[in-house]
Amino acid sequence: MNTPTTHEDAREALGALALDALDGAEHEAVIAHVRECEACARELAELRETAAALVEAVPAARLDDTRRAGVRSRLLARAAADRPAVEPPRMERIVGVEPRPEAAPAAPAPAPRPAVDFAAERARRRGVPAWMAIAASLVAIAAGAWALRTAGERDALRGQLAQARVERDSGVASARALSVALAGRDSALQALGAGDVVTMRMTTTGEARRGPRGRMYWARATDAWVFVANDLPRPPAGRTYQLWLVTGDQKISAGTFAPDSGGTVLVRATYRLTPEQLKAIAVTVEPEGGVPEPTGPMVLVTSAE
Amino acid sequence: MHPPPTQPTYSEASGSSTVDTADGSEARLVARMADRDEQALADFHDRWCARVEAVVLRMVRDADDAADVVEEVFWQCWRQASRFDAARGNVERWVLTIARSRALDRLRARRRSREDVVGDDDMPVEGVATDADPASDAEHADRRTRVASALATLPPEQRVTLELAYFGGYSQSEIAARTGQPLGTIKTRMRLALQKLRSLLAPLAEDSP
Repeated sequence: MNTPTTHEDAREALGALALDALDGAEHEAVIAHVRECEACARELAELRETAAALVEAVPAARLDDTRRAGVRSRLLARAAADRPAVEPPRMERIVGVEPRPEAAPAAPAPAPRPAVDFAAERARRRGVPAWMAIAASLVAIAAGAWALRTAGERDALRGQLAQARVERDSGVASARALSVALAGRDSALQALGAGDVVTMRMTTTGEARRGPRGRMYWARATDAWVFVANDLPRPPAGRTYQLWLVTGDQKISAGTFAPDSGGTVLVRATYRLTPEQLKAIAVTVEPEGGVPEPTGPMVLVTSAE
Repeated sequence: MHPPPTQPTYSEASGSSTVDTADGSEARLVARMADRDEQALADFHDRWCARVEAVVLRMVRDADDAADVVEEVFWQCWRQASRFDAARGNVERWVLTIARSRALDRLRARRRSREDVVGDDDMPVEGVATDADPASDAEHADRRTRVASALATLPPEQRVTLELAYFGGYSQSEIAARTGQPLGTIKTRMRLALQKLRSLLAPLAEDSP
């Protein structure tokens, strides 16, 4: 229902159009003409360009510090509130990996494990807020300290594995179990896909040199996470381990798991996070079936070694 | 009777052909916003708040309104960062165009809700810091001076018409009513003013990155 317009009328109105000053019906009519008329389209583009330069002429003025800071913090709060709904990460659990005879000679039966009683639990009893403490053990991912830049993710993982083998505080048997778990699960390696793999060490809270160890491998390009741990005791009856990706304001469950008889576990998940978002990775002991928010003692957490 | 929404417009899609070769870092910041990097939003705000605030304050002339509008400007940048095409326009033009559009929305909404009498352009605005951002000043003082002096060389009636439309968000018929001039005269003034400004600013455009 545009009002028809002549070329002359439309051309005369181009200045007003460039300034967004045409009233409804005329605006539509002139726009319709410009779509058909190359000369008018060119002139309009030029006048628009010129009009846009008028912002340069604005005198310097600014909001006072309070209002400016208020704008900034409201924006960040809105962005945080606007995050996509947290969907449970796709998770594939690989548990009960038994050493293959050809890959690893029979290992001595693992010694009986103590019940779960780690530093976090002790910290809790002392009243130390463990979830606040992990902020202090912030993963130095942004700095790229542990980013591996190798030709292939498989080499990267194998390199990490070799390193794991010689860690003096890693038991020989568990290193072997870890080796088998990785070597036998090409799919877990493939899950990491191409690109840099970030490796994060996880240790018992508060006692980096003792207790179970874990590693999280994170391929940012594919949002793939592979969590490997060894020396993990079986959780108490009716309990399970739960893995968490911790951001500034959320603890995202990456699923529950149980270690195999050798204390080894390998968990694979897919979840998108930015390095800035990720504050820590943690493992807690929770009621069987898992919980939406961590409630139990923390047994492993990323350590900023 | 109000002018149509200012965004999106036909000419915004086809207007600027400036390619930002010199500010790849600006475009990268927008790309980080497109990736929902919240730190990038904070950085982007810090990078552009001085320019955006100046435009918005010039137009809405009320610090509380301006703070609301500035927030909406950056929010729109955040939400639409993935639509920004670094090959087709520069970041500065993009963010300032959004700033003007959102300020126009506020002005027009204000006029709809109350018979807004045009404020005195020299009226002091509370809540506005008197110290301008030195960094922003240094960066833009030259261009500001050149555009402002080009504007000053226009015949007064053309300049006033231009400013009422561009910064005041008034339609041609509103300006005609306010100034008591025929609509055709206002229309002609707008086109002549922009054409003259264009010839005056041509050397500036060539200097721009």
